[in-house]
Amino acid sequence: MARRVRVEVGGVRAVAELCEDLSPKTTEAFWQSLPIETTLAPAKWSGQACYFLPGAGPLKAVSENESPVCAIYPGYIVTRPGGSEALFAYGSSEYRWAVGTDYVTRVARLVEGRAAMLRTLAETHDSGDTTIRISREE
Amino acid sequence: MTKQIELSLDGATATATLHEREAPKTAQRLWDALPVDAKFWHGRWSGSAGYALIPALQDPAAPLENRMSILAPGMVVVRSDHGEVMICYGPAQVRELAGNAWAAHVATLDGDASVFLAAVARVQHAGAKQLVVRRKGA
Repeated sequence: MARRVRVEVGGVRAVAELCEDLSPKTTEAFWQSLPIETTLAPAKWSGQACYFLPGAGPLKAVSENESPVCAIYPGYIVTRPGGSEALFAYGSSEYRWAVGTDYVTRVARLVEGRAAMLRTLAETHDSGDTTIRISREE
Repeated sequence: MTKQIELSLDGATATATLHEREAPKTAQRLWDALPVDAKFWHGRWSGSAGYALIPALQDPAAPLENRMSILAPGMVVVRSDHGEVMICYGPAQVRELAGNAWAAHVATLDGDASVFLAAVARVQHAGAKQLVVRRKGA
């Protein structure tokens, strides 16, 4: 069974399962980076998603995407190579920036408390930044 | 005489000159819709730009005048298909889920609008604010 993480945003809790089969190196680095507590902000190029900076840690050493994708499904957390950025989608989303579409690695997907968490993430479009905390579910 | 509009957001004010020659129908429709007091969000797909929805501007059959996709700071554009006014403060392109899109460049902010553009930028992290647009001098 894949390892799980607890995700907390704005007082709402959910559980996500790591995408270990798709992204073994990235998920291991993500696991070693936990806990993460940082600002979660609305994305401005990638659609219905928020982004956060996972910080300088083990993710920095993962220099390439694994099983790369452009589309980010609701409830998925993805990262960019080097851990430069992570996104958490709540609706239609594709990883983009100023020059166009780019690739990301799937790290985790919500498996419990999904609906409430997606609503909370969507509220950032109205309310702006909030805080995200991700910790190991053991 | 050139028509000018006054825009107010989060304590900052700027004026803009309508492009009546380049976008006559769009400029007139915007002028006729004023004053407006509308919620102003940060864009989710288009980069450094914010937007408001103004139902009086919605007309999917309206001609796309003075069309632009890549935007520059200070540009005010209208998407008649959505009834949307966008204000650009940095690198931006009119985009949507399906890809790149177009808008009518209807006005440009006058002079040094940096304080107003900073207010537009703040919306990404501070959340939606009220945008007031009126005819200058009204």
